[in-house]
Parts: sequence; structure tokens; C-alpha cells
Amino acid sequence: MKLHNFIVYFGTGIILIAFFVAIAFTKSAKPKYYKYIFAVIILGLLISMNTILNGNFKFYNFKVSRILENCISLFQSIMFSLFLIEHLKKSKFIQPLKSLFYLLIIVEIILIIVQAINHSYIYPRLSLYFCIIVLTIFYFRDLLQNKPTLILANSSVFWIVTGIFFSFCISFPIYSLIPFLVKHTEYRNLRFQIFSIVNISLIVLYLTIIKSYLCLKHPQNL
Amino acid sequence: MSKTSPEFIIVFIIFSVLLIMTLVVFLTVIIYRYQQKQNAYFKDIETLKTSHQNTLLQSQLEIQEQTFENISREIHDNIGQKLTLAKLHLNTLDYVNKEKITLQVNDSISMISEAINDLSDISRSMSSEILLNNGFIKALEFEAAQLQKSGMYKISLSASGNTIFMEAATELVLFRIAQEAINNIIKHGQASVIDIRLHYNTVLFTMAITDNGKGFNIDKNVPGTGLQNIKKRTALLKGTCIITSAENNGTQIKIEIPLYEDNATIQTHPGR
Repeated sequence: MKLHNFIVYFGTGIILIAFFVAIAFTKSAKPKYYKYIFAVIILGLLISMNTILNGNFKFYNFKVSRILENCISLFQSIMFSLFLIEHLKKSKFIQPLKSLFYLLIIVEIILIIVQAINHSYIYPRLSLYFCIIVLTIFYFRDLLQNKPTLILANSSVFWIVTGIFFSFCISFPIYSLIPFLVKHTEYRNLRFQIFSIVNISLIVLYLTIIKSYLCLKHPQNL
Repeated sequence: MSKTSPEFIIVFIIFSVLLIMTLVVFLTVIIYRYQQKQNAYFKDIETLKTSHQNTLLQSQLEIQEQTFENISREIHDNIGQKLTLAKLHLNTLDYVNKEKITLQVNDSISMISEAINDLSDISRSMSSEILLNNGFIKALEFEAAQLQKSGMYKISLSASGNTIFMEAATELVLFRIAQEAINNIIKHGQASVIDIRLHYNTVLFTMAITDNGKGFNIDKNVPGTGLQNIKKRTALLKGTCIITSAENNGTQIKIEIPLYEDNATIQTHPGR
């Protein structure tokens, strides 16, 4: 089995574990934002299934797979953004960031409809990723400015935001490479290895999500 | 298939490693700075707690000192006088006149009984036992009943909201505040009606003591030791004290205490 395939299967396993952990914690009292995180897990499973089907079954249409991936990724980014926005409600700069975020979503939806498989589609997606990274930075800024009463190791929000920050900071430059890879065909055979790094960062993200669910055992100080 | 340039792979690997390292360093710095801030914050809280405890101790000593003063004054002015008079009666017994003897002995017995009752009242009033065993409201009810017994005041006490039993030390300070306010009314107020209202909500405890006495002009009169003590003790409980008064229009002392941190540790004393 090739390394990048192994990473995809391993990542799917981690998402499945996250899914079961989320199910196990369904009934426990938890903050509102967990509905977004649960949606992220479901969407992650769908992306994984789409990738596995696309890689293993020839009948699976590449174009359809691409459109599906773009749509699910968009929904996932929306879920992450909504989670962060809900958390940063009291932040000073949240209003302009919120407006920018909605604008980017509209642009992305239009681009998915108009040119789903065109590589130029990557720019609005990158802008959305950038917006999410900025939101996570605002979370860290607030964390350092507010009363430090939180025990970070037991804070579910901290774990999720750290995972999002880590994953999106790695995904951002790698996705930026897409236009370059498209132009320079000599590097195209490297794309699986390059995107494996994104997949590893996503595995880290889902691991932090599992940890955040486990943090629910402790009293939450949000 | 075209061949990938090794330079690209090297650059890519270096870039990826650098990126991941930067992220790890960034997160480490955030966590480190947060921990530093948290340590400083907890240290500050500890210092504040110690300082609060010291002030509480100091205030308790002041209360004790004042209690001794009250006892001393009460013994000297009231009980001492009664016993002296009883002694005088007994010293000057006219053994010839049987009728006068009976009268003098009866008077002496009555004075000694009054002195015993006064002593008993002082003892109960100064002791915090009733407060510790039955809570603030019961202790205040007892205090009101004592005052009512004197026949000089019409006193009413009401409590609303969900009663929250506070730390014993907090309740003791509150009780002494109420006693101080009542003493002030007795000493200076020339009032006939005293109204005590207590209200508990989830975050705040309010106590309003109102009288219909002669009142005073807040702007002109400098607050006496009693009012200053009330303010100081309220501040000790992180509360606020609002005094409203006007000449010939009574006085109201309103105390508001936040029910959090030290004040609101709910107690489950079986007797309360």
C-alpha cells in the first residue's frame, strides 16, 4: 500500500473514532458549539469516503467527486467558521470578519457552481482558510487578554481551536501550490505526497477534536 | 511521466519543516505566556485572599473590642446601678419598721432580678452561638424580639427571596452590622418604628434597616463611629452601603452584599 493511501485510511479511522466518541458524548451536557463540531466530523467522514471511492473505483466520476469534495469542504469550513464566530461573539473585530466571511462563502458557492473543477476556484477557498486562521488568531489574542482562569489542558475550545489553527496553517500554503502544480506538469506526480501533509494535519485536527470531547469530563470553564 | 526536480522536493521539505516548527513554536509561546499570566493571576488572588483574611481578622478584633466596651458600659450604667441601689436598700434596712423592711427587701429582689435579666440579655446578644446554630435570620429575629420586649419600639422583620446561608464569618459581620445600625437608632434616632427587610437573589443579598426617627442631614453631619463601622464592615464583605436620611424624616441603611466567592459559600448546617 502506498504511503498516501495509508494516510487516507488511517485518517478515516481517526475520523470514525471521533464520530464514535461524539456519539458516546451525545447525552452529556456540552456547550452549544458542539453541534458544529459534530457536523464537521460527519462532513469529514463524507470527504474521506469520497476520496476512497475516487481512488479505488473507476466507475466513480472524477468530476462529480471533485464537485462533492469542494461542496463538503465548503460546508466544513462554514462549520469551523460558525464555531469560531460563536466563540468570538464578544470580540471587537468580529463584525468585519463576519461580513468578510459571509462574502467569501457567497463567492465560493458561485465559483463551485460556475467552475467547480477549475483551479482558479482555489483562491476563494484560500481566502476562506485565511479568514479561519485570522479567527483562530483572534481567539488566541482574546485568550491572552482575558482573565487567565482557564485550565488549558481541560479546555475543549482551546483544543479545537489549536487543531483548527494547526491544520489550516498547514493546508493554506499547500493549497496555494495547486496553481503552480497545474502549470508545471513535471511536479504533478508529487501531488499525492504533498497532499498527504494536509491529510496528516487533518488527522491532528480530528485528534484534537477527540481530546476536546474527552475534556467534557472536566467542568468546563469556557 | 516527467521527472520531479530534486531542488523542488528539498525546498518543499525545508519549507514544510519550517512551517510546522513555526506553528509549534507559536503555540508553545502562547501556552507559555498564558501559563505565566495564569501564575501571576493566581498569585494575585492568593495575596488578595490573605489581605482579605487579615482585614477580616482585624475587623473581628475591632468588633470584639467594641463588644467589650458595650458590656463594660452596660454593666457600669445599668446593672451596676441596679446592684448598687439594691445594696443601698439592703444596707439601710430599718429593722424596727417591719413594713419598711418588706418593701426594701422586695425592691432589692426586684432590682437584682432585673439585673440578672439584663445580664442574661447581654450575654445572649453578645454571643454568636445563636447565629452559628440557627443562622443570620433567626439571630436577627431574636434581636428584634429583645428590642420589642422593651416596649419602646415597634419592630418588623421580613425576608424575601431564596434564603442563602453564607459563610459563618460573613453572617457574623452582617449580624454585627445590623446590631450597630439598631444601636445607632436606639442611641441617636429617637425612633418608634424600626423596619428590617432582607432580600436574597441569586447574586445579591440586600438588608435595609429603616426607622422613623429624627434623621440627619447627610451633607452637613459627619458620620459617627457607628456609621463608619457599618461602612467599613460592608466594604469588608465587598458590598455597598447606602445611607439615606433627612432631618425629621427617618434614616435608612441599605447594605448590598454580592453572593459570590467568599460570601456565598452555601452552608448546609443541619440546624439552619
